[in-house]
Amino acid sequence: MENIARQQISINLEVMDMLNQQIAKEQHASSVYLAMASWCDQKGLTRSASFFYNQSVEEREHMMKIFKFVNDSGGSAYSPEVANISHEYASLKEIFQLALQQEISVTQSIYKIVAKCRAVNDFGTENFLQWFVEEQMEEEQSIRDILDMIELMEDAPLKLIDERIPKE
Amino acid sequence: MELLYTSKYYASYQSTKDRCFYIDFGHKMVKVSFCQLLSLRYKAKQLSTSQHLEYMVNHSDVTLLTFCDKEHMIVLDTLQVLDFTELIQATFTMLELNNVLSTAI
Repeated sequence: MENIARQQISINLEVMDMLNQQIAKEQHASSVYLAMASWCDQKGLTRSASFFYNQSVEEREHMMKIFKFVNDSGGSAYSPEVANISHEYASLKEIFQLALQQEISVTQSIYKIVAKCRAVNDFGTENFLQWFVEEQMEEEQSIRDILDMIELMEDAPLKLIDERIPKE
Repeated sequence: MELLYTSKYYASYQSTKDRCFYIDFGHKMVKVSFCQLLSLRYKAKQLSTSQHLEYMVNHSDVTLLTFCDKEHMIVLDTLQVLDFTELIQATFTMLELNNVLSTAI
């Protein structure tokens, strides 16, 4: 029997499912960052707000990158629903702690897909995901640096801490 | 046309000549592209979630399935949803098996 399916799609189907889950994860992360940006903006923490607006755009770009890849490979990408976005935070420190947790969760998810790609010999997708592996290392590090700075300046006024948030 | 899988109510086929697939729903035979088959796989997954099945059992025993860009619409009861899900899963398993065999040969 001729392999029609393989002629139409160049990625593994289980990997495609995981990429669709990743699309939802990236979109969720983008929305969470938007909520964080809103909280910071309302408190007058302009540098932090700007940081999270940029993060939100970046996460959406990641989502679009995967979305396009799935469709370009002959698969079907599905537009994700986003729900349960919290807009309540206790402090700026908590926001960055949650942001780090979120990045770690996204990194772990990417690693799982890479591991699956290796298990099913989907080298094309593994190669595509290498960019995300590097990107996640950078994302985690930048938030970890901010948390270190907040730790060092814990007694300083919030505005002073905000002024030290890096411009991206 | 080569038979891929037969479930209790439905059957799936591959047509090498037409480079597409066919689903036999009993009362009609529907021609689908691979892309449309992927879409059916997604819908089958949605229909067979415990949440959706629970809703069907508790509120109404029928659900509407539209596919091929709303060209077709069928009504399924709970057993048919489970059977349809089995058909789609098994169809993709057969395609994967075919892929493994053709790569090995």
